[in-house]
Amino acid sequence: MNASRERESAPLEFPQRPAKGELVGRMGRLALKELRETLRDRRTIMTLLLMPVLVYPLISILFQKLLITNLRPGDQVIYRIGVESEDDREAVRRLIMLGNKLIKGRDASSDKPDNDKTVLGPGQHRSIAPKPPTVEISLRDHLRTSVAEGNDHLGILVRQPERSGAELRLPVPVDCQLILQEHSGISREAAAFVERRFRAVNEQLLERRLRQLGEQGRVTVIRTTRDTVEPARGTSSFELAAVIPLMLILMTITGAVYPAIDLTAGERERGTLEALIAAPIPRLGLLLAKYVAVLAVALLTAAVNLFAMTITVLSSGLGALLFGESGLSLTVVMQVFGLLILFAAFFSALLLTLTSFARSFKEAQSYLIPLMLISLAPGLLGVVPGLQLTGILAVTPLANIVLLSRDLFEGNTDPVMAGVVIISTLVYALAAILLAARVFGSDAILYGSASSWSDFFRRPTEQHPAPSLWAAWWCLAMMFPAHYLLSSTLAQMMYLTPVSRLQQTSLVAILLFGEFPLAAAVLARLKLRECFQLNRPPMIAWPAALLLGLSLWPFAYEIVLLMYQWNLLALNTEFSKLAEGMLKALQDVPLVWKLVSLVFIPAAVEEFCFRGYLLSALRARMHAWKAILLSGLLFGVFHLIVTDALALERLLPSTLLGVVLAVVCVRSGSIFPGMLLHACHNSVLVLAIEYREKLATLGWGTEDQTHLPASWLLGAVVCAVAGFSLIALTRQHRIQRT
Amino acid sequence: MISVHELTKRFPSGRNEVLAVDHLSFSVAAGEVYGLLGPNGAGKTTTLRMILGLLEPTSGFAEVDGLRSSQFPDEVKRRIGLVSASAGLYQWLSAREVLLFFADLYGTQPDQAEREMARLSELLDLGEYLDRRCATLSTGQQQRVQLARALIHNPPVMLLDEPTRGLDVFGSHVIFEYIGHLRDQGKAVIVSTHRLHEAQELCDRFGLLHRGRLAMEGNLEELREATGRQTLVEMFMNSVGNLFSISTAKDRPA
Repeated sequence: MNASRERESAPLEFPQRPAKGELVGRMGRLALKELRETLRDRRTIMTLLLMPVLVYPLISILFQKLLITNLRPGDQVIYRIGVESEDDREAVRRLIMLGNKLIKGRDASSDKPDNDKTVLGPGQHRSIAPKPPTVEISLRDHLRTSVAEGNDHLGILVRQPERSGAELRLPVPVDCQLILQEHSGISREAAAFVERRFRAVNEQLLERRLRQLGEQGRVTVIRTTRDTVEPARGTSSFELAAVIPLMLILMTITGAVYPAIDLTAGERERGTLEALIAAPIPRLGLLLAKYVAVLAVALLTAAVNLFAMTITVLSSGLGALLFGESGLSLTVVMQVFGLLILFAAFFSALLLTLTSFARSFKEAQSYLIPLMLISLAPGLLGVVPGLQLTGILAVTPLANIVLLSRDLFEGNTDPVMAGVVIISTLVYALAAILLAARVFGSDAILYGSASSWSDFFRRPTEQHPAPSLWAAWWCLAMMFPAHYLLSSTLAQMMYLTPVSRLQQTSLVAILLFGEFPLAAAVLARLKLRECFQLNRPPMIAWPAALLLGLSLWPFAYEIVLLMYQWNLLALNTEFSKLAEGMLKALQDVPLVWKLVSLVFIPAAVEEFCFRGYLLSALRARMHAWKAILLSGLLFGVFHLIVTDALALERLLPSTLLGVVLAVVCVRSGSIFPGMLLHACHNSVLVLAIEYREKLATLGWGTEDQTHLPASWLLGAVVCAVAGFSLIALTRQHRIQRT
Repeated sequence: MISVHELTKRFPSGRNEVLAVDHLSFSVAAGEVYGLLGPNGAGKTTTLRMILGLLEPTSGFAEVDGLRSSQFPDEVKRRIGLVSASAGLYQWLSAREVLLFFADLYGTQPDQAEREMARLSELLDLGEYLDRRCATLSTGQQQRVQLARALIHNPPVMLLDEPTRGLDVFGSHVIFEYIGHLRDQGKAVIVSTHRLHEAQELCDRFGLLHRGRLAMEGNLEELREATGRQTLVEMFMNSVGNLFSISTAKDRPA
């Protein structure tokens, strides 16, 4: 025993506690090892490289067969063009013939192939469509209807000068309006075909004119404009541009599936997971390393697929057919890759969550097959013709990415919808990562001690003071789409009177910011008073909140004004219109309703949610100032989307207001002073709008977008400094960190 | 070096709970090899996992070098090397890559890790297959790599859970010989094994687990005195038989 004591006293050399940076480096090396191991497996390489290299050329051949040869038997593409009169038919026929002749002659002299043939690609051109396209011109009474119903690929509305008949008297310009279906490949192609021929005629005339030096006059003969129509119900064609993103997304999923299973269930099955979790690395760190590896493989797959798709599209000439006249640009490819990154970030976390439950490779596969099938449904929804990226689709995972990618490919992206898609996917991705961390780190999952999933999600037996980060984020992940959906639905209810609209808005706010967090807190068996900071604040916090509530609006106003003046923000006409419309609608609403709906209820429920529930969750896991900044930012993001407009100008002021409210809550230990501050801030704005005409007569208007008088700003600074000084006197209320 | 106080673990099982470890207490000093013996399902592996901080105890606690596993899991893990029969190796990595990877995970400096790997490969005779992919190694070779992996960061505590399961006589001999070497190095070692003959030769003290409880504890002389039996096998059969009859009598309805 003495001998053993002597040995015990001798220091054993083993690694000392690592610094924080060293731990991060170690996690990075762990991620690299996971990636290296995954990439050494031939199965990964198969999915990663071989599939895209084989799949895209095959699909491109299939597309060509389907689209080109099926258009009309006899290996010839015929563009059906509709016109309104016999004169127009003759004019269009002559112009196209002249254009054909000019293009043919030019190509023969320059020995260049006809650009129209690039629609088919050099290799396939001979085998699939040996003859150049021709046109069939028909007389129609209603051009737009005819194009919308698909009877014609293109409608040409000719507006000729009165003096000209069937014979065109050059150089008097002829206006041609091309009516086409934006989402139909053949329609776009027909338009491009006609435009090219008209351009050739114009160019010939320009050449002729330039030879006659000194002669004045216009040289444009035909001016073409485009007008798009939506397909008539039941007659729309399959949208090809949406198939490509769906394929890219499915391939990205396929790339991530194998590493996700292998690095979780596979490791457990092989028995390597226990050795890994026995190492001194936090479980969250282990999960993040695995997540990085899965994400990296998913992104590699996405990049290889995108590359293979781009090369196939460019070399086969399908670009114009699928993505419109401009084809496929590098910017669009990069934007779509950005979306794929976002999607992969979300889906990799979702995969890791599910595979973490599995105890074997086989079990993981059985979990993922339903997920893949479920994923296909919203993905295929995105391919449905004429479907717009609005409403619930904008917040439906996968479908929103497919539709946004389609819009990007087609070059008609709505920035508001893009914002909604990006924010919602980011929120879902973070929620999925946090859920994966919770699942991966649990004993029940590591050692299969839970008998079912319901055990894992069982309500805790003990009460906790603050929500866990993952629970709070999940609450937000539910709230964001609900917030967007409810606001959009409310905006669609045109029949609502202004008062009932305000009442509905209040109900939505109560449901979202009151019910959601309350339900989450009750389900997680939280101590409601501590969780929502329903404490009695120190007396000094009340005047502080009052001063801050009355003095912050000039800063918000000046920030927005400065952002416009420094060109950091473009004038948001959509939001301005929306705001004007709202103001007009609310003009006759009694002030008391405005105060209830726009001041008191938002102030109460938003404080309950953001400074009560969310800030408590953040403070339990991170330093107070980090929690303050993050909660402020999230508060700002929730104010970013106003029904159908992206109110970028609201982000910074709302975030700063959120930060100030969070500071007040942290210092006072209560949400009640924040409610007062919030209500004062909102009421100043509501009252300023209510009495804006009276204020304007006093010379206190702000409509000409000029800076506020210096005396006002000085007053606001004095009040704000006084408010902050008072709040600084309170003792910081601490929350137990977990 | 290791002390376990009233350690208890209950696992949920549907609407009921299973008691895996029941108020277990024992300690292991540095330079001592402790044999944790018991039939399948006695709670040996669960006990080792709680010592390592991989499982949260329902009640009680385990300490390593004065640090509670549930409070300082990473600090405790840095002091422990784990060899488990159920553990595997990364099939697509070479033995060298596995060893250096784990050395890095435990924060061992690269030059020190290289030195330690050279020393271990000499002691465990890993030299010829150090650069071969783990998938191509035999069970015995893999088990030796496992032992080297657990020792690469030179921990003062070793937990060996059925380290000889699936090994032939020669393979088991190498492992047991090395455990003796670990004792000489002053490490505190807990071995959980079914090979009672070899355990009898190797371990300084024994704890006999049955249904999560410590049925007997002591060195060989103390156990012989208490049971009147000579070998661990006899003591084990006797003790488990007695306990089994007691527990079945208890379970029988009156």
